[in-house]
Amino acid sequence: MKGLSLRITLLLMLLIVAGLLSSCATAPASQSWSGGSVADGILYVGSQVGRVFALDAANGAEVWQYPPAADRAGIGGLWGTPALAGATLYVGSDNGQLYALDVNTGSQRWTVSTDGGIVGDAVVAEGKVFFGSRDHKVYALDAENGRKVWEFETGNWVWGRPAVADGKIYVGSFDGTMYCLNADDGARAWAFTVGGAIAGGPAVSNGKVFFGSLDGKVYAVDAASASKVWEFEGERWFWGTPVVFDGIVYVGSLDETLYALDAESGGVRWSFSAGGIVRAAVTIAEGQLYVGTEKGTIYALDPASGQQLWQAAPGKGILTTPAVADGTVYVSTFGDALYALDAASGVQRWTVTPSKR
Amino acid sequence: MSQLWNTFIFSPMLNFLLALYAVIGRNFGLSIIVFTVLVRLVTLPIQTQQMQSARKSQELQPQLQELQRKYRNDREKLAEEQMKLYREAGVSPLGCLVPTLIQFPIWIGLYQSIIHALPDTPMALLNLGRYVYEQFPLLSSLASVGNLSSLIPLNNRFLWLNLARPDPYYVLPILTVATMWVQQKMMATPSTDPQAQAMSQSMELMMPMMFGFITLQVASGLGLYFVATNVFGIVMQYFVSGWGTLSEVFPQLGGSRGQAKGKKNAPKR
Repeated sequence: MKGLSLRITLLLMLLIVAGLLSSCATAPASQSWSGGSVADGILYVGSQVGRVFALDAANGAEVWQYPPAADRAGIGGLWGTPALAGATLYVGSDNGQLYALDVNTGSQRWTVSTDGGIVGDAVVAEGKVFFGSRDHKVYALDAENGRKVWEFETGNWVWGRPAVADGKIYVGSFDGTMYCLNADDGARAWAFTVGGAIAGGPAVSNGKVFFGSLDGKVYAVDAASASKVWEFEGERWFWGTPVVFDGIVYVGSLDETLYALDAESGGVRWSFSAGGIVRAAVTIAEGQLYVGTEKGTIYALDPASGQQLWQAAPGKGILTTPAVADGTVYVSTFGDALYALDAASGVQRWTVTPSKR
Repeated sequence: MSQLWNTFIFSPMLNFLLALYAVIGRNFGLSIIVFTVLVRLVTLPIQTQQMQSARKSQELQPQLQELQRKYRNDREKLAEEQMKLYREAGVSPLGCLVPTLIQFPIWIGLYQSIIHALPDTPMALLNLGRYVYEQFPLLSSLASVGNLSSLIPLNNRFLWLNLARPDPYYVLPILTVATMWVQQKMMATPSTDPQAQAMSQSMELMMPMMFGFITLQVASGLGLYFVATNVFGIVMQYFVSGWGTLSEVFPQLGGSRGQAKGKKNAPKR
């Protein structure tokens, strides 16, 4: 019986381990992040519970939510920042659908399904909405009715926000290639392959395409010829979409640094040690640069010098791009809490967790 | 504590698995199998000690049962005599428990590595990004790969499987149950006590069923690990103690080397 009791003990221990393993093997489906967009005094933001909220930007009061509160089921994980064009809000979901919502009422105008989750932001230009999917494809839909205009298949997931300039779409894929496509028909103009996956989107400015890669480099490629202009090597992955302003490329890294690179040469103008992973793109507005970190700190910097103007630590995990309007910075933190901070001082004006009201 | 765990157990295992993936021609299924075999080879001394300890305990069963009969009304004396028997035979009653405990962190590290290596959400990718080494010794010369980050995302296809998703055809859950049951049967201690035998048999079924159920729900990469580690365990068990009580279910397996060895080494009564 001694051997048997030992085996029972072992079995109990294995049961505990199995419980631990199954719990860590299946991550909660609700773990997502979504940034905010502001227009006409309304803040639009997605949530971990699969809902889109429209909030009064002045105090965080709810204007509407989609799906309506009566509908208990959400629409899946929302990772992107809602894209606003005219009276329509476009938001992609991890359930593979792109939703077009009425900005005034939150009612659904149309929805289109893809064969994979939609992680990146959609972008609206030239009457079309462009976005990527985990089914490896880039889609162009008629922004009015959602009719598919074209699709283009890459070699892997497309998570980044496409950039549109001069009749071309620039979009990166996890197959390590930056694609330039004709906006009208999706025909490939060129492709530029780098040494790692491209998780974020590109920025296009002054005839160059700027993007980062998981190979730890930032690239500048000539938008017309697809030839490399320069590359810059950091310590770890570059995931966030670069932002170009006044001849400087701003891009954060998983090495916890924000780099300001000369757009012409790729040389470092300045760098800022953020003390946490910088995953998302920065925002530049009203003469200030705002950057959030995964540790939950947001910094306001002088874009020219990198000098810190203020910092605030509103909540845990800032993995999305801050939105700025009318002297207020809106920060979405991991766990669905939203913070409105004074853009000049960083002092908190209000906070709300719309999914928990 | 979690930082210590990640630095010394999880992160090295994850990066070694990624390096293996690069060296083995970017086949993640094969990498899991090779990694499992390597980890089990490294822990071979501990496992052998565990199996030998279990076998010695098994050999003492007749004497233990005799003691139970003799001192069934005196629990104190029974415990004393049992300890004496264990001491004389050079067996620790916890001999098979301690090696198992030592292996637990390795198993958990291995599971975590497989799960983290196949991120399919931004959050999972961010978690992976925290632990991937930028440099790995000899990687560029062995696999013509600049760094481990350039391997991401890994190719998750292996045979009919998407290693990040459960097996759609339920082959791996069935294999997990079958291989674990075989291993359990080979490890089982024969008993003349019908109550003990019934309990033992129900446990031999319960554990494989439980792991089969887990395999149904989790990434098939983990299921592949379960099957690989069970097959390795079966081969090892055969060389240590033969087919064990499995030959009672399948008589055609006949007298095994382990049984013969067991009889030869059985203590005289």
